[in-house]
Amino acid sequence: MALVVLILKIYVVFCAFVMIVYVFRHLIFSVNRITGEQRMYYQDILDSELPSVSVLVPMHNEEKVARDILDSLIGVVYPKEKLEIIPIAQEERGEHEHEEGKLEIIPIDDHSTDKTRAILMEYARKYPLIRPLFRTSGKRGKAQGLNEAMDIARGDVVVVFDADYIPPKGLVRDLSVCFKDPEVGAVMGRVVPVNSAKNLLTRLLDLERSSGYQVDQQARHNLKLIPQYGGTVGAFRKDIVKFFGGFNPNSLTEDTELTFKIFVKGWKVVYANRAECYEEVPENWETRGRQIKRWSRGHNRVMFRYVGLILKSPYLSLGEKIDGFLLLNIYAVPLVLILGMMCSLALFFLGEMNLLPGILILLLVVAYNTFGNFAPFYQIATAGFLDGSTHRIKLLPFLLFSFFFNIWYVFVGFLQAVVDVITRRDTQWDKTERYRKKI
Amino acid sequence: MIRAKSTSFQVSDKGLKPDKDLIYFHRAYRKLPVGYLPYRFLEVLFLFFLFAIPLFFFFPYLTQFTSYVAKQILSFVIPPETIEIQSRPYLFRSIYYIVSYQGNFPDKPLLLITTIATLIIGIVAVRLKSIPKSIGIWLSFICAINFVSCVFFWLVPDLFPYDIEIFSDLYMITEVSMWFMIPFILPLALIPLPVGLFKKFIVVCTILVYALIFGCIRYVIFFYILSKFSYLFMAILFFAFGPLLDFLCIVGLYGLFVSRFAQNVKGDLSIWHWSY
Repeated sequence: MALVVLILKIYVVFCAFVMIVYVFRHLIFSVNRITGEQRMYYQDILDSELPSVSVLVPMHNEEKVARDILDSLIGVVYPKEKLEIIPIAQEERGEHEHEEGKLEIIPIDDHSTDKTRAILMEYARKYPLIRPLFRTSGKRGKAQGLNEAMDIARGDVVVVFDADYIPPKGLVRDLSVCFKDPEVGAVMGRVVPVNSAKNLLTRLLDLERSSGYQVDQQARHNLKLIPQYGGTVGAFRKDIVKFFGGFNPNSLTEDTELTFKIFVKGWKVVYANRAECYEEVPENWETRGRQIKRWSRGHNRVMFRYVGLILKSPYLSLGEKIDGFLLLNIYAVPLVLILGMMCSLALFFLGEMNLLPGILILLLVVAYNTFGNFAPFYQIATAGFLDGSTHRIKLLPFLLFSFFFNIWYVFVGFLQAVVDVITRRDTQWDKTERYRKKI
Repeated sequence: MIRAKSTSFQVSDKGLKPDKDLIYFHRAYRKLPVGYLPYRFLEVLFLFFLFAIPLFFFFPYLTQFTSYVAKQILSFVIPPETIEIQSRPYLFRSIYYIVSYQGNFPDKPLLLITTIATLIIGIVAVRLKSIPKSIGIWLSFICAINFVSCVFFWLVPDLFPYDIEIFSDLYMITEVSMWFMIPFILPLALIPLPVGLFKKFIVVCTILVYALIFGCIRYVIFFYILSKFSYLFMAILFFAFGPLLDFLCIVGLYGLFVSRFAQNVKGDLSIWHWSY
């Protein structure tokens, strides 16, 4: 029994150590973001020789939002001869021929069963720069859709938006200009919820997004660590992704995978905090749960594959390796925590809790994990401070509900990832529900 | 002054009016100079010792006072002659806590009812559509702890390692740990924000006073539940309504303070800097 108690105590100490590491990581990010020198991206480059761009918009049953994003994309400011927009719907690929070098938007209609196809065809007839890709066969999913769209895309740079996004006019240029630097493999912009005032959940998600982008991503960019390409409001070099063999069709987080592939091979991801784009966040907890579960499942699969490669890569600095390691493991933390809670409960019933260290450890565990989506309360407060969301900061204690909710779904996602790796089973893309009625 | 006048106008009954009085520079790269950074970390240590040293000398009196107040309140519902204040050595000083002879193990009917109720609530909380999933999962977390406790009392009640005295002692240790943690965690959490030393002192003071008052009230409630009902609920009280709840309230107060600081500097362009 003494051995069991010892093992439980060692695990709880390990758990506390993990939490302390993340506590200080996020404290460094918060301090750096609010007080440090801010590293900008490449927005000051005024060069007429911008790269040619294909805008890809994966869509699956997006009739509620399709018009909004296409209208926004048509209005973007970019040398028209350099831009192409590709929504994705397969058997009619190549139906719309365009002059070489013209603007290109490629919406990807991925097995839609609603009016998405009709909307895309209507826009394609009206605007020659829109070249929809209609997919009705093959595996459904964002990664596969992007792979097929890249086969027909003519741009050197691929910009990706999810269908619920509303890009402002200068965004495509803001993202694309970064590729004047040959070291840049991908660029990520900032995501801002458009429906943040809808209910408590959307307000909490607004706080989380604010923390994740305004503080976390920008601090990682400032400190030359690992800013993450997020799969939307982002861009990448088409030839690099082709060199990697395209996206893994079985991946649920092709964005995380691309981030680590890029860093491991010596390119960089740039974070452009000024390049903001509105998105729609989930308005109910069920949708949010499915979203987190998918992220956790996909992220953890990437973790299994890249954690060794990151540490061995000759192109990465020590700081990048440490940050990459912590970033890769962030969706494994809830598992560590749940096991820590179970150990604490076991120690309680074994009568081993009346120790000061035990209590301090418990407090430290709580200190990090009680609040937010992998961001401690002070990082979220810092982000609210910077964004001027003065009243929303008062919602910090409500993140308690997010905490239990998040760790449960992340934990389930982790288990699914383990089963995926063991059984090599196929994954199915779970589409996020849309709520928009009118902008 | 870093600002630009608005050049956009709207037509109204009173003529042309600008959309906004001022157009601020974008939030993307704004920052706040908070002074020499190592000094900010020294402030954390200074504040910690400023509170920790008096706490070290006075925590026996604070625990004694808490125990005294708790005993006075509890004497309304529990026979006063069954409640005692005891002390034992702790951290080279003494810690005080109350004990009662009324604590008891759960009888079979209570255990059965609690087990069934815990199971039902735990399942319904995550299944019922009318309960938001987040609250449902939180309730299930609480029920899971209580279910483990029920199973323990079904299987090996004799091995339950606590009585009301040990729990009371454990509670006081937890409170003392929390009092020491507050002057460390809060200044640390306030490092990134442009808050002066005096304001930080006020924040820590306020939250410490809150922790003392709330800790005492909760002590009374815990003690009442354990002595009137059963040890069955000890685990849930400790894990779900113990330090977790303390920390929740501390963060709530922290949020209120930070929100106020943020409002004070929001429109003050002389405070904000951009990029460098």
